[in-house]
Amino acid sequence: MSILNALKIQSRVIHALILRETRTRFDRNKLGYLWALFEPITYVLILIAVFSAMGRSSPIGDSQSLPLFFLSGLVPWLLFANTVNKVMEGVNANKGLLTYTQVTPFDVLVSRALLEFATMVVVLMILLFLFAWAGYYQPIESFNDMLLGLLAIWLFAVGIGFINASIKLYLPSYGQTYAAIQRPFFFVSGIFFTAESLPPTLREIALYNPILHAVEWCRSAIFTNYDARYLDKDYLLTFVVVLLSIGLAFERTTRKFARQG
Amino acid sequence: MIEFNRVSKSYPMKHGRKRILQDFSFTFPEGKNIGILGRNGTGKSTIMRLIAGSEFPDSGAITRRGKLSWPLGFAGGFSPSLTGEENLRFICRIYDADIPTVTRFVEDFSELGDFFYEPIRNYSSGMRSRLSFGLSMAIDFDVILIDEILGVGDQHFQKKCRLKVEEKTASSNIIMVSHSMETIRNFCDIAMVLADEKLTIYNDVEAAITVYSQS
Repeated sequence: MSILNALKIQSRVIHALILRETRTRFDRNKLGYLWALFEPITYVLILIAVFSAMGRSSPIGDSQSLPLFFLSGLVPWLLFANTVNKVMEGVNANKGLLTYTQVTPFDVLVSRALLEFATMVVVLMILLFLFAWAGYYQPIESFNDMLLGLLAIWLFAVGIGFINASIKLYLPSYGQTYAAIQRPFFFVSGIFFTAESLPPTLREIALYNPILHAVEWCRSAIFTNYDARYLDKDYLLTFVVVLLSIGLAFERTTRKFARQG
Repeated sequence: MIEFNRVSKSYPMKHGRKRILQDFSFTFPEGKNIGILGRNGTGKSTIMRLIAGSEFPDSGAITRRGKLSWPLGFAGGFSPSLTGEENLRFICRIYDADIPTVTRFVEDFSELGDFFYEPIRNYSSGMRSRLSFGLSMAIDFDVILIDEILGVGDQHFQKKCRLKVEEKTASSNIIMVSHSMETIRNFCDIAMVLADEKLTIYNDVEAAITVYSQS
């Protein structure tokens, strides 16, 4: 079989898997896949509402910037957390499909990851539109740069998702352990603060967290007057490359095992 | 063409391992319908999954050329939350089959009526296998793998399946697993018996049946 032919089959399978996923995810919900958009949007809006009711103001920009501030932190975070979660559950949730030989564990994981990215980009655009409509419009520094930041954190998440999916095959309870490790990162990834606003000693430690760099990246892409002095793209991208390589290697070595009954 | 090259396969069990094949080499002859006989628990279904490529051998290699079906009779590839029609679309997409043609055939053949548009979780097991069978008959394969399917459904449907499989043998070959000697006798040109961790090939189906019924 030629490589071109193999790629054709693979893209056909991934396409079919994505379509299938949009129908199965919110199976008993009338809204169907719209729920996948609705869920993060309400989440972001509620957090903004709570914090503005508490009188919190954005550390960047002016008094109107709070919605954009939270958006710039929550969208990359949600993209990260949802992608890891969906990818690591991928093999378990689709075991029956692996009977069809052209469906590989790799395809299942990739299709879930792609759907998550597309969903979050749509969520981002709807949120920006909502803010503009509600009168919180501010010119964005660079939408493209925001997408690059999201792409980086997404690839980071895909790497972790692949690694976790492989470990989960052997240790089914690993999911809970991982969730417990990931949870505190919600508070130290810059959703509620900027790297700049931290005291120097704390900042030094916080900057080891690659997710914080992704958030800073997105923030500098959204706010014209935020230059993200502490953003180290190379640091984040090194993580991306290393984790992706490990993830793909894990997937390859556990591939046979994933098909076992 | 399907070729087993020094294939070993075993399963871990609570006490030791269950061996199914040990260092087994064989080239499945082309243009022949092949039956595999074996008692319950000898590993017939695993052999089918190995042939289909749904599972990998522990060691050795399996080469296959041509378009093979999934092991027919297996309904685990259906998603319970999707309707029959939606599951059909998914399978058409991954096999590159024409959705309207397949839909028309399966709607007619499987006799599901309105259930075709209901989630699979509301199906009886008979309805599930009717859908699965109809679907595999609608897509063109070089080799159709049948795992005991001819035993499901009511008599009327069973007869329909037999006729359809007979019709299919004109353009495709079948490899089937069964403990019904009658079925193997009807459909197969050669037969293999799975016992004591090995597959033995008999060019004469009757000879295989004799060995099998004495085991």
